[in-house]
Amino acid sequence: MKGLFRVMAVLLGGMFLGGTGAFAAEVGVTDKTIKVGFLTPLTGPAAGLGRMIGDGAKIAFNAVNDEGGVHGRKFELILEDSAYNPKETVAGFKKLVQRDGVFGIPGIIGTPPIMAAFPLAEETRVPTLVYQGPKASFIPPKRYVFVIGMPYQLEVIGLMEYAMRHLDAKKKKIGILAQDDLADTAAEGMRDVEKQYGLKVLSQQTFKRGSPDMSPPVIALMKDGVEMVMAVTNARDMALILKKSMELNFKPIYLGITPAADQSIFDALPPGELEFYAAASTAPLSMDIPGIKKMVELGKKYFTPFKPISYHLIGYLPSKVFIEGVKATGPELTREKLIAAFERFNNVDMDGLTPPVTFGPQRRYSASSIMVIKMDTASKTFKIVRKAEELQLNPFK
Amino acid sequence: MSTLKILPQLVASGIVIGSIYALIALGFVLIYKSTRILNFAQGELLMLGAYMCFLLSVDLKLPYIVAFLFTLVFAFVLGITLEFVLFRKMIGEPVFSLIMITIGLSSVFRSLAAFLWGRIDMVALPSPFPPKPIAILGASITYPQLATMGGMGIMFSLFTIFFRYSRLGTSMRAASDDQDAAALTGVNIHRVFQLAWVMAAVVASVGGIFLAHINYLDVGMGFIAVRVFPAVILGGMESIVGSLIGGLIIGLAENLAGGLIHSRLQDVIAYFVLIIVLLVRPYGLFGQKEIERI
Amino acid sequence: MARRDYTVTYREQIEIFRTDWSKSWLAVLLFLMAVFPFIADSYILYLANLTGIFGIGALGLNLLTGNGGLISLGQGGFVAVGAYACGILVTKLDLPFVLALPLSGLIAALCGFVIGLPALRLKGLYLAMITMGFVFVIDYIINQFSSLTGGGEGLKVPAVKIGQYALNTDLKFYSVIMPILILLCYFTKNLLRTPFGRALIAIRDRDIAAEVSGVHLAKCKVQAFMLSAFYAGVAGAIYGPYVKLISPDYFGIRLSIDYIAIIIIGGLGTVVGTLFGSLFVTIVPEVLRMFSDLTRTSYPVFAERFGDLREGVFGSLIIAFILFEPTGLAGIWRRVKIYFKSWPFRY
Repeated sequence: MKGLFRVMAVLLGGMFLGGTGAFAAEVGVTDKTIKVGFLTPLTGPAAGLGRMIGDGAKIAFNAVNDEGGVHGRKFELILEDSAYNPKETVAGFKKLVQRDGVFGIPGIIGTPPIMAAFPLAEETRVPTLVYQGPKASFIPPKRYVFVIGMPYQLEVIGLMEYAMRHLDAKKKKIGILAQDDLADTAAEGMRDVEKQYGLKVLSQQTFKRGSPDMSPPVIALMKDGVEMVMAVTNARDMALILKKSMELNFKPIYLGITPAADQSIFDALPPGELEFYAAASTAPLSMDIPGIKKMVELGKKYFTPFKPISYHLIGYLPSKVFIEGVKATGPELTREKLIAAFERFNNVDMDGLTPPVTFGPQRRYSASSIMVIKMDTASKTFKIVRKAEELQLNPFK
Repeated sequence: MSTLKILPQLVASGIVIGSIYALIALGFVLIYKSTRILNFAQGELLMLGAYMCFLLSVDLKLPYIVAFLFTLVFAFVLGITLEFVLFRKMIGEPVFSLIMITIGLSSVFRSLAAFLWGRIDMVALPSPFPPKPIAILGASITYPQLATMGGMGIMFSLFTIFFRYSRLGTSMRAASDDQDAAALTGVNIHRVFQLAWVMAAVVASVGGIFLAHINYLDVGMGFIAVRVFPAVILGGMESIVGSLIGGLIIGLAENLAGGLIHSRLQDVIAYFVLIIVLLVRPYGLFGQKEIERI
Repeated sequence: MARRDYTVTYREQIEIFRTDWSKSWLAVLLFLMAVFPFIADSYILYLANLTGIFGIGALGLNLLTGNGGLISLGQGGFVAVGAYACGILVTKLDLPFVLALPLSGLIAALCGFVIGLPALRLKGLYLAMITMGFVFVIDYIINQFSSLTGGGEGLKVPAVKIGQYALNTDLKFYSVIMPILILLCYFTKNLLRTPFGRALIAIRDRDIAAEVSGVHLAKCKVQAFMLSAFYAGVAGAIYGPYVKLISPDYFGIRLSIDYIAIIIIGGLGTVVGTLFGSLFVTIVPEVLRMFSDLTRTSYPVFAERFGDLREGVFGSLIIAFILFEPTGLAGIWRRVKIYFKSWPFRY
């Protein structure tokens, strides 16, 4: 016990010295620079995708810096690891705000990190953009937290509306296939659809993210005779699901949320045809879209080799929105003014990268309209089949 | 579709994934049998094997057979290196520490792979087998999946023959029974350890290659090994046959429970089995009875 | 430097801090701990609090595994039970935190009882396996009863209060965590000197001999599990309101392994070791994070990829400790102390 306390004395003394750290002079803005922080998984199972997201953010900020910055200020981007879990996210967030003194946080990715971080954003009064945050992050609206892209629950509704109009959904047997942490969101969305439009969900399958064997849930869907599957999951698991489907000769119409429809799934798929429609809160990687074309050009400039995937866009897009916000604020840049600028966003065009961005004094999610894209295995891309349309049923209005 | 119709399909997928589990379980058993270590890094050995094969066959564009064999050579070298650098020093240390070393090792391997080969992600390993499915007994099975089952069968037969009929195999069995006695009769214990690690690495690589055919390459593919512990316990930690049976049973259980009862069961049924086995018959189906009871 | 260690009464002899020297160090330490939060920023305080929470949980594990020799990979599961119990008690039953905290510990202890029973028949690796199975089963249960636990999306834990004292800043949490930690350290240290503690150590060394000497093996082992689960439950119960969102992801086998790393790196079976280990396990990832920051500007390409190596560096440290320093940081510290104590003599 003696040793114990003696040691603690020494160590805490050390911490004490280290702890009198720089109280940031102000909020990350100088005449020449704006410091921003981006939280993405850099370690852990999601690190592969997380890194790409970070690269996307880098592209956006490098590009604007090369153009001279905004109102004479260049951006300094700090990437922090969220490890896709709350504990690391909170540590990273605190570090960015306390130690690095960032002005704002243009991006937090992933439901658990967002859930952990948004109370902190309110507490520390740091303008924060999150990508596709869950309901709790914008209902009720938080002053400092803005959600880019559509919450998954709304994507589910939007997709079903599209499916009812164009894919004969009302006559088909419908099933849900969701990953463990999104199962509730998926169910809620489908319940909204059921109540409003009288559809019925026949089969609900859940699987653990990263499961090596997609056979049981897919076969179960097959057993229930499902003809249309609402897949609420990420690209990795979606690739295996589609692969398994092809192997089993099980060909329902797949409907997927934005993360499920990513460029990278094509490398894992065998040749074959499957109907897969997805919501696109961010545009598919089609060079027909000016914003995408620009991103790919810039990406090639800053990274070699550069193989663009949707996850780059997930980093690129919130960063661009943040930059637009800073532009709109004007030369006198403070956090409160940035919030006000965001609130004035009305159908801001993002070059086709996402449906036009609208916020408001009580509205903190950017889109209530979705694009619908379809998988085209021949060209290994996703094609836009329907431009952005407002949702008819919006439980958040 | 009726339950009866999909039953053969569930059984088929159960056997396929069960074969992968069996190969991983075999790796665990090989090391445990000889050295009493439970190698938490077995999954990462699998991952490294898969990546090596990819690098050889896709990046260097070597023909598949060549890439496959060279991967086995790589596994051989890896096994010897591990044994020499790490585990030779740790003979006689408590089980606990050894397990922790393998846990640390798995982190190191994952990190290295992400650092070196992070860009290779979600790519299926191209195989010489056409990815088409064929119908067998009411189930749809692809050629890579058949190859997996076949490969598993071959590996197990080879190892069973090795342990039963070859001199080295017999001496390994002796060493795992009683190290000192074996040493006294002239068995080179160091060689036994080396061999155990090499074999485990080779088996893991084969498993990794097949898994990469069936799914895709990904730095986290080693996590599958955590699902295999129940299979090893079920079969018996010292039994080769046990690892085969255990792997297959777990694969089948996952598919049948997940497909027929409730999809979430797929991930946890293995652990239910584990707990039941440990409570009822801890040494597994084919293991050696040496559990003390208080 | 020789020290006055002159005792005249039995009371003095059994004191934990015997000499004036060590007593004064204790005072300095407590003073620093009290002053520290007012100077440190929120980030450092967050780390300190996390260290404290880990420490509380690890104390329990060290009792069970370090002193008792019962390998448990289940600590993550017990922490989960504590966290969710507290979260549910506070949100669904509106229980005040002061009650929810010990109650969560007790609920976790109950789980410890459930695990302790089958554990009686198992040793070594098999014990480790069944505790691992426990963690996965808890994960399944959390996901299954999602109406109660929030399932995969997690459970939001609201801010809690102790009477009128609202726990809404890092500093306030510090003022709760540290006293609990100190109290539990004191308790643990004393526990090791009681018959129960000695019985545990006897079980670790040779359990059959212990039984022969009169230790009721079954009772002791189960009690050890319950006790270590209680510590973990308390740690979890504090963790929930602190991070305000708990999800089953966090409480998996990874967490259990982190705890094992703490007690191995820190030093098995010692209270000091637990504290060292907790500090180490919390600080090192952050140090690595800062390191990647530093290299970010000078070697940007390397720094990008460095994030990948973080996990590996941590793994290598674990390996290094086991290979070269099996007694852990506590062992190193003891040697350092002895060096200074006996200076200028060699020993």
